[in-house]
Amino acid sequence: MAAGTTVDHLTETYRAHYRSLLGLAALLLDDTASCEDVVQEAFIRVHSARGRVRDPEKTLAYLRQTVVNLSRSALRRRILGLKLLSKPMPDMASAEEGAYEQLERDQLIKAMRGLQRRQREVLVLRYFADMTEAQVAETLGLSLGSVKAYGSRGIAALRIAMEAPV
Amino acid sequence: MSHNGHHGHPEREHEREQEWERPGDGRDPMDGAALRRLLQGAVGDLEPAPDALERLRQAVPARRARRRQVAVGAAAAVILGATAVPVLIRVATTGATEGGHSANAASSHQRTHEITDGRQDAGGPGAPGMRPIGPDGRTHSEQEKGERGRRTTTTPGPASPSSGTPGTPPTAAPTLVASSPSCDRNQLGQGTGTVGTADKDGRIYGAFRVVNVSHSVCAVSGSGVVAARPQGNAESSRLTVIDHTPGDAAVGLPDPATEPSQVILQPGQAYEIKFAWIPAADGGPSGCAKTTAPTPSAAPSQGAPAGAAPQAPGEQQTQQPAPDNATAAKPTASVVLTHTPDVGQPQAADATLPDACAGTIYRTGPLAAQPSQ
Repeated sequence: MAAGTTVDHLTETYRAHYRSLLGLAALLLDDTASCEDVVQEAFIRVHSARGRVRDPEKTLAYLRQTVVNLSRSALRRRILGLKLLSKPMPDMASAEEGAYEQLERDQLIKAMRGLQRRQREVLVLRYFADMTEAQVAETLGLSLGSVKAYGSRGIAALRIAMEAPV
Repeated sequence: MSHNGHHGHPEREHEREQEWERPGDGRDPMDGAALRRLLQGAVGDLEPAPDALERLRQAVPARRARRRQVAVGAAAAVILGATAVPVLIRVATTGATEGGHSANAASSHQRTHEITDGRQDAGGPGAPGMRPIGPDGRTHSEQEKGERGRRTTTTPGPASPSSGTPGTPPTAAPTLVASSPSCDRNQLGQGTGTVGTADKDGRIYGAFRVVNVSHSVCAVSGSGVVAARPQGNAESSRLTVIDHTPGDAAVGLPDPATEPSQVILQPGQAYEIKFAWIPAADGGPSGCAKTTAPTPSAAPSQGAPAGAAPQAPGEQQTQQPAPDNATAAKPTASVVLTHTPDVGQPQAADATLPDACAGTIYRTGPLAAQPSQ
């Protein structure tokens, strides 16, 4: 049954990737408040398009791609503005306050947020999501050369930011 | 999670070191491995919201149903066009015999009800290929599967009873998660239909409004049925009800993307279904001033009783305003729209589009209505 498979696939994908995607969103976003919304929306989009879940191998790629897209602020604002997502924060605020607050204080996170968006995206996909440069290029719609350039400049900027006394 | 672990593929590891990173001197906080570790560590404590999976389990089928609804709505429009001729014969010939209602010959009153309500009778012989596709483009079984069986009063899953939502704000809240039971048919009432005035092109906007008349909070999530019933000279074969989608002709309706997946109704609150009447393109304000119906079989649809209908030239008659005293014999064209909530009959509201003959009705799903007065 299609429905059954789908639910199973959803659960399976959730278990395998939800948490890491939450991390991905947290690193890409400049506000932690939207992380869960972005990941939820990505799951909903990918799983409600049947064609996209036929190949489980590709599900993670689709999910990451969607998280990246949604994390770009204009899109995210649009979603949140439209309130497509229900019950955005209350749950998480209470249950996860500690982790998210901690995140806000994290020096690395602060430094990451100081980077240009492209640099941040490249570093996060490359190092957190562990993609190859080619995968990063594809996901971000950049050339391989741009990925290399953003990556090296991003690392350099991050190095400076982390060494800064603040 | 191994994707994000510290064990990158050896080749990639190598590639990275070569391309981006200084050889680690042990103190550089920013070599690749260190960055990977830092990134993992920074977000490692994040936990999904407790109900994250449950929300997805509800939201995915709902979204899928929305998609299907749009797709099938478009398909329905095509089918309508393709089957116009046979349906014209079938439906139109009996239009006059039942007081202008579109119904099949020999159909009982019950049948009339079913057909005009859209897909209620999907498998029935009276509506082959034509009306069974509901105006919102879904069949009942799909809807029930797709949107967690709203017919039941209790919502499965983590939904809390209605007592759990007394804190919801006073206006209908479209975005609260499914924490309220679906509205039963008998919780919905005081239905009204309003119709604005036509613009110069005959376009009319209007809305149905249905109130939660019960004493408890409930949720409306299915789109329900909007059906069009021709009156007088209106052409049943050229009336189409489809879902409003971005870029269609009903520019005055809200963007479908803003539609809530469900509307939570406090007692006394109402939901609205907005609609737009767009007359057929070539037919003047009513939509069929110069109808292009291809066959003479269109003639009986002109609605004059007892063989008074002329043959093919009959279309022209729709242009002629009938004298008042002749209305009963030769009624002018209008279209009655009815709305039946998703949870079932009876119909909750109707609205009459005056001087409407042939065209398309675009409709939204349930929206939170502003408090009346």
